[in-house]
Amino acid sequence: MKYSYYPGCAQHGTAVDYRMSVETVFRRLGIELEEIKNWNCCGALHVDDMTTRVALSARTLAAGNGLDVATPCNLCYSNLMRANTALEDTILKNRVNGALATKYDGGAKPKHLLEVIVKDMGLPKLAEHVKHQLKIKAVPYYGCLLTRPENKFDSPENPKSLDNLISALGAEPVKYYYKTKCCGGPILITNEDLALELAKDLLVMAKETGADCMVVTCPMCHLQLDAKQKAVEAKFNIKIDMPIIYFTQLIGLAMGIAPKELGLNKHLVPTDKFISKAGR
Amino acid sequence: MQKENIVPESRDNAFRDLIIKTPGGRNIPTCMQCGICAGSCPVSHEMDYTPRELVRMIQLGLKKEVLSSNTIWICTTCFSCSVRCPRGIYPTELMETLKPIAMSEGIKNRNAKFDTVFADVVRKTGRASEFLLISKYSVSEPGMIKQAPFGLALMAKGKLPLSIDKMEDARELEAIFKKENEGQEVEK
Repeated sequence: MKYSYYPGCAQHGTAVDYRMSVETVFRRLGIELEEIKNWNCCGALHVDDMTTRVALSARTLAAGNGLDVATPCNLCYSNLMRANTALEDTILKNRVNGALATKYDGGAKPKHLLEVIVKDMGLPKLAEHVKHQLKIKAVPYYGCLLTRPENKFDSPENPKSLDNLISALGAEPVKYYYKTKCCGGPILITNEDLALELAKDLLVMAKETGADCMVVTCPMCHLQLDAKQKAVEAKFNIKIDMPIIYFTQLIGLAMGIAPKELGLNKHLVPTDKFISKAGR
Repeated sequence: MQKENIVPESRDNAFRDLIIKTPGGRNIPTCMQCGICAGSCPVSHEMDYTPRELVRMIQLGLKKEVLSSNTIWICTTCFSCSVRCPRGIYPTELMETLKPIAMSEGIKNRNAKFDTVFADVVRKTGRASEFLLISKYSVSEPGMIKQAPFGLALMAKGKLPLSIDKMEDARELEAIFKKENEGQEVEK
């Protein structure tokens, strides 16, 4: 299995732990991620001009060299998917191609890394790599942009892929009614009070399920729920202490990979207790 | 907030027609005010007008009220409304459409400023380095100094590198960010 790989900007900054776990886990699973040369930012949710935003993603898709374009980030994934849909409009497509050095003809398939594991590789195959079952309870948190707006890979209302992945690792996915509710990440810098309110709702609800961790698929969600967890606790005078784990880190633990190699020591919410409970 | 009565003089049909021609506005005339957008929105309680109200206001051509509302900037772009709208309206895309129009009409706020900084950093370096973004944004937002301990906590974990992440060659992006390419979605 081989993919063109579009890491996205966060992998070089706040999501260094995600990057470490992706690199280790995918290498050991034998899935080749060939990084796109000279890749550019997708514009996240902050490049407001539509043509520019679509062109940024079209450039990435054109660089995919005919392979599916895999990405670890919900924002990047959503932008790539939306660009493909927007480019069905030929007027826009011509305009976008006018600005690109390598023209994009359409047809490249963006895939989130979760989709690569769950759909392309398949969970029975993943289970063969599991060295020990994780005896923990985990909150499956999908966030917004993995399933919205495109609704192609999993249901936007009640997705199951991450639940199934957690089960395949021997862990128990808890019922969590906020699994696709917004974490507030995109407005963290500009409307912090409101962003923390959204994160608080998610964290309190996660805590109530009695889970040992919350599993995420997006660096923005992780920043909001892990790095900002202390700020949520201070603002609302509550104790949460909920480890936020990337799905690739969870896979890595089940494969017997050392927590340090998965970047689990780089979280702001301590993960030691969680790691020992997971049987490491 | 106190909402003024709508009088015929506050209606701008050209504005309505402009928005209705965009991909984000195409289905606006079909809105039946069911309100599932407002009910699905995680932040509508903080908005001047809910997404439902905003759509109605566009139907009525209330340009000034629409463009100066905080609604378009508070939207977290979560697309909950968009996947549920029975008329296929995509209010999220509508907010995205309205942002550059509001900015070109001189609307200024923290979100518009952040978006301007973000686009500028991507245009010049090709990547969105968190440290560079935050430093540039903080220049005109002195309140950001309160975030210094947070920044230091990230740095201690090696998550906020001071070196600027760049494309090897970002020249290709110049054409993408050219002004002539902008705003085309409202032309169609």
